[in-house]
Amino acid sequence: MTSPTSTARIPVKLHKNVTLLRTSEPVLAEELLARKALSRWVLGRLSETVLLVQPDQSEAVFEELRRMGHTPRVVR
Amino acid sequence: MAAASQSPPSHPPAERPFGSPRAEAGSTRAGTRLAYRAALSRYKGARLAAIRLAQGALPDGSRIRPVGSADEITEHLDHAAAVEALVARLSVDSRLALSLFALTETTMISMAGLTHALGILGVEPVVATVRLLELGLLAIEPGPELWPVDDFQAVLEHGDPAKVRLRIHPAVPHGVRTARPEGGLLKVAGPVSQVRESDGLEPILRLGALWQRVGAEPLRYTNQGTLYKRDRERVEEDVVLTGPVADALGPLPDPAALWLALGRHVGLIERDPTGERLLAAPPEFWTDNAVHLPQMIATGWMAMRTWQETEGATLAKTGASLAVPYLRIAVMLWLAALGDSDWVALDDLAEHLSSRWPTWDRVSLSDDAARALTSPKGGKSPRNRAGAERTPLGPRLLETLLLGAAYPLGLVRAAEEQGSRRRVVQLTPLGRYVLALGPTPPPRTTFEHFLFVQPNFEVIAYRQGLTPQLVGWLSRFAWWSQIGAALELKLTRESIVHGLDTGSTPEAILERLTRHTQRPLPPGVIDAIRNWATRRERVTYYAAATLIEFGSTRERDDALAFWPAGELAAPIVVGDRFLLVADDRTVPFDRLRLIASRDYRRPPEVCVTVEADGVSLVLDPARSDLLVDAELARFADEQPAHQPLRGEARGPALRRFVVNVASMRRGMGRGMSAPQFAEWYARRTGAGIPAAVRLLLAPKISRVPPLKATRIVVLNLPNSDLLDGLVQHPATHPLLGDRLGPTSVTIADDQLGPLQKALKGLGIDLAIE
Repeated sequence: MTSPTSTARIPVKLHKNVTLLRTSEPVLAEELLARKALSRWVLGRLSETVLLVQPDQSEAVFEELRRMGHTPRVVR
Repeated sequence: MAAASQSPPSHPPAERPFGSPRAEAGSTRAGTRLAYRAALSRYKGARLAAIRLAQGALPDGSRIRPVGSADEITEHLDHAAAVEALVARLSVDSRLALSLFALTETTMISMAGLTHALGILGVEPVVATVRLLELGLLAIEPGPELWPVDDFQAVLEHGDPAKVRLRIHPAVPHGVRTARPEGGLLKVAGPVSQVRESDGLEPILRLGALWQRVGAEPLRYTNQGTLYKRDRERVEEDVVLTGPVADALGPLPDPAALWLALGRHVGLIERDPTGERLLAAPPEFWTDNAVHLPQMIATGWMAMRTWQETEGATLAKTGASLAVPYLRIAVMLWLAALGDSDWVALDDLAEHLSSRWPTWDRVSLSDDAARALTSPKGGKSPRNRAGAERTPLGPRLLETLLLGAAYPLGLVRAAEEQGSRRRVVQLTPLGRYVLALGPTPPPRTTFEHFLFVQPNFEVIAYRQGLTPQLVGWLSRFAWWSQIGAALELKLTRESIVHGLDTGSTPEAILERLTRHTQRPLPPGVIDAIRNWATRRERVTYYAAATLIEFGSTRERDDALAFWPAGELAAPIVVGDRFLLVADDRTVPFDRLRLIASRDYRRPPEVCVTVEADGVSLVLDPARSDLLVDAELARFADEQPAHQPLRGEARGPALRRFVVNVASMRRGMGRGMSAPQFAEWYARRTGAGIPAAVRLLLAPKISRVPPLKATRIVVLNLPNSDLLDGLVQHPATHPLLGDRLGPTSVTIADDQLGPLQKALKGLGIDLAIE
């Protein structure tokens, strides 16, 4: 067990260069998942508001989001 | 004047201006130095020694060895003082040759191009060049047939001028002051009127529009290195980019190619590392370079080798070496020979150039290429066959060059000679500055309130208020919709999102608009900008985020407790065990122990083991990634975690999945096919589909015929001799099935009675249980 004051390092696994979509509310994530043309690029749901997205499909994802009326903030 | 090399053959090697494009490999100083040194390495040893002797000792008094080497010559020129000393020994003609390299920031020029430019400047090209070669300030690079290089004069006379290249040591351009050509350019004697000078904003506005458009949708390259037709047309048909230049005094052909080439030269658009796309530079480009942008654009224009004022990029696409680029810099230097207040008439200038170099107005360094361009489908026209191939462009070419291109770039002024009404030109302060012959031009006089923001989201901008910095600012968040005498922009949701993506905030956008608008911003515009910005925050796309996975929620919370607070964004909690980090630099790695790391830009790793039963899959926690979970969930069911028994060693929890009929049906229902299963097993397990899974797959991919079952009896005998006898004897042999071993054999159910009977005939009883 680790506590904030402990000097033991916490074991972690690092996932780098992951492509994600994060929504401000869970219902928005549901909306994205319900969109068939978009959900095909969604590989999994990591939380209520975070979706794991296929990494090489950014253009297709943007295009579909635009069609849905979203203009997502992009963090590169 | 020597007429040598007036008609060099076509298809010279490409000439590469340094910094154009900046991202290209080899454009660094080190690459230039290496190329220069490589050219020297093809010299004879005696020639190298002669160069080293001609260079003389270093200012610190180092001795010169009798045998020089390419390295010694290269290193000698690394010293600025050594370069200055050598340049001081040069004639004006040789310094003019070096000025051509320095002003265009070019590291290599073909002999054909240098000859054309020097000829126009009234310089004997061979003499001027040989002197530079003798001092090592230039290195010559002929074709292999002329290696090793010894006699420069012979190489210049016998080598193909289009293939002979001249390379400059990277330190030399910094030690050269621009030389002016000598010899009686006739200036206008009388007064002039109707003086016109452009605001110099035209290329900056067009590049701003190009930058935002490429930022919104990058341009793609084909495998042949040309833009995709659709993308090229997108630029060519965009009237904002290719519409007529406001205040134009001359034609400007193929403007799309010009702006693209200039954009790449200054680094405002650049190829991505794969070379497949042309991307917009980061917005910091404007902050870092806006002040120098007019000079950078002017230098890019003078160095441009893929576009020229007569027909744009058309001739360059045939592989020909363009001639007008060399005329461009030579004409600018001739204008610099005039006094600050002197004017020259275009027809006088044309006559002056004709007297020095009769073919100054050629369009290609290759006559063949020029003919191919002017003759339909490359065929020989009667005019060509007659030998009167060249129609002199003369003053018309100067009009296009100076009034069509240099004027909107802000490099020349134009006026009319009173009385004759002839068109006259002179350099502007910016023109003298880019030729390194004048001080920094004074900043433009601007006024603060140059915007008019309308309730319909259209913005009118008055050119008089704009500066390159402000063009950069507006290009971030307002879409250029018209560039002309009046400038129009449009505020849209996409343009505001582009602004936010490039680092602005809604408040910064509103502050910028408020500061420069003539009237208060319409409330609808303010509300829309804020609303668009808020909506943008509803969905965030992370292209390359870092997720940190913890063993438990508690460990994650412990890590959050010691996570350093700072200016960079705090981590975001994702699910029970993950933290989402937008910037790796915030991760306190000194408090964490990395047990595994996966980079999702690399191919997936083998991280699943198939157990002996073929249907059970075990996930390796150290090598697995998040994608494999999603992949497995499609066609396998996760099993409950194994709880270690008391006394059993605790290790990382292994996750097990099972493929069964229902899960397989689910996978196939979601579109997985047999080849996709095979690909998944190869990628994730490193082997083919196990037989047990193939068994589950078989009925789903093809019809399996009904199986037939039969009863089989096993007859065990006391020894192998007896079985050997039964197998061999004709009365029993047909009644036996497969032999299972030395003393066992199968018998079909319906053969049991006949066998019993046959054995009885042989005196052996067979009891049936």
